[in-house]
Amino acid sequence: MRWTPFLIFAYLFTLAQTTLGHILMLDRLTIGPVGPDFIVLLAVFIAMYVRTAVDGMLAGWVLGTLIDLTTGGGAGTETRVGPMAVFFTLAVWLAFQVREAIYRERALPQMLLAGLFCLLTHTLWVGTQMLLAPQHVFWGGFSRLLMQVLLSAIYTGLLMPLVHFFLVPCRNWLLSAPPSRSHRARR
Amino acid sequence: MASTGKNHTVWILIVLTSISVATTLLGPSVAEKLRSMVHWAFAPLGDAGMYLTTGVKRLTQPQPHVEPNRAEQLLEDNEVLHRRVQYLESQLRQTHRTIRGGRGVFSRLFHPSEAVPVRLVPARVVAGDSMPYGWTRIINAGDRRDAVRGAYVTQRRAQTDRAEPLGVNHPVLCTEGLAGRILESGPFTARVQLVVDSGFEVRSQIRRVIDPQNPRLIQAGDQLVRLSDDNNEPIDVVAFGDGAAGLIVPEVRKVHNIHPGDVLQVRPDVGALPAPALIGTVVNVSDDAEHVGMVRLYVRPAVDLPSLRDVYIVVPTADKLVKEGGQ
Repeated sequence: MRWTPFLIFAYLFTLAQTTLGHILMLDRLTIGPVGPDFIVLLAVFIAMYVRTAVDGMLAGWVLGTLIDLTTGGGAGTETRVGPMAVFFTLAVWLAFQVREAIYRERALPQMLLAGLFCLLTHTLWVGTQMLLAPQHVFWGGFSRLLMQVLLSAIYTGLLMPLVHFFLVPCRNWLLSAPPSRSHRARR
Repeated sequence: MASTGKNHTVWILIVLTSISVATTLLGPSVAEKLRSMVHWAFAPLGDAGMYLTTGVKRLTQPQPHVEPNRAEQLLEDNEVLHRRVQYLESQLRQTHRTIRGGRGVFSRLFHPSEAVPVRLVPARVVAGDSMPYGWTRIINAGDRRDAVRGAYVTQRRAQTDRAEPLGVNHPVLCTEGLAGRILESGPFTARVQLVVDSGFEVRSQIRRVIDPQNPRLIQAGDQLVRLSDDNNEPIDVVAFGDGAAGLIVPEVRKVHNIHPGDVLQVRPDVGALPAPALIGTVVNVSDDAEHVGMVRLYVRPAVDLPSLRDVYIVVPTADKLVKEGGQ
């Protein structure tokens, strides 16, 4: 894992998610806004191609923390920092475990993996934030939030092949560690 | 050696995950501090992105369809109204001249202060939430510019094209309506909770709009009377954001006879905005299933929140005025 390029990508994806990502957001629906999660797409891409699970989980933690730090609403009150970092770490590990069972180059498995990743992490995040929120949060809106989560997961999944297409050329730069000195000497 | 490196990475991961669990349990106060340390990294580059985003949102906003006949009629009405406005403006100018003359004399004698006791701090939306479940925005003004937690935020909109030269004292900007309230504040940035966010709550008032062609009856004491300027008192309510795209006002007495088209305003006598700023328009009135004799109002916000870009932070200066005025 090349951490400097990864951190640059993480920053750019978060910046896109908090600004240009709102162009793709459907925010005039009666159930509330529905939008794709670009950071999930980057996390799924890393989970699919990273060399070791620990590196992937570390990257997942960074991406989850960035979401936590750039999200302030959603549970009817100020949200907490930390839950998404934990859920991303676990979800990347899960995606790493199942990646051998799917055809990573095909669009449909990519979409399914990204959609499920988004559904899992976002549902857990929304549930945790509401459970930890003070008592004035109304649970009547929870079913509406779950519908938002489901539609956002589908939306995110649909965009996965496109993002995968653009990220594949950067794969070596992003994920492969440069050959070590001893390795070069042997060659 | 490789396994030692891997062990280190595992330990780093364990420590970082433990920190995340700890910050989760520590609550929103820690979250606010952590976010304010990071927001500045997104504010400068986010500004350009939000310029593009809000521009596109404004373009894609659905426009109401108007029939050709209706359009012609509207044009004629507009012309009549335009002439009326011109007439009224000339009357108003004359009245202003009279008032200004009298005020000058009065001011010299008693030196009164007429300003609404607030200061408006301009700011700009530079980023939104990562996830679509909340309605908050990051603005490029923090507590160093008095954008403190709890302060109200209104929309500001240019009244003229920026390409045109502006005359002296031209009323360039106006506030259009309440956009939200500051939820978190750091030194350089702040997070605004928009009025439709599910956690938003505001003590407000309903102002009934009198339509001479459709008079309505309200209860005054034991009898029904016609609503007029004399008895059209504002109705105090509490409005909540519904988390989707509007506000809900529960438990409003049916006898107030509120109709779609009535407006929801900020209560000027409470909170940090001492003026009846517009929040939105009532679009639906339905029976409150949980409370007999009550209705539930659904309010559409006055501000187009997806395309919100330029805002004013309302900073009350009442303490200062009291000190200077001495009364």
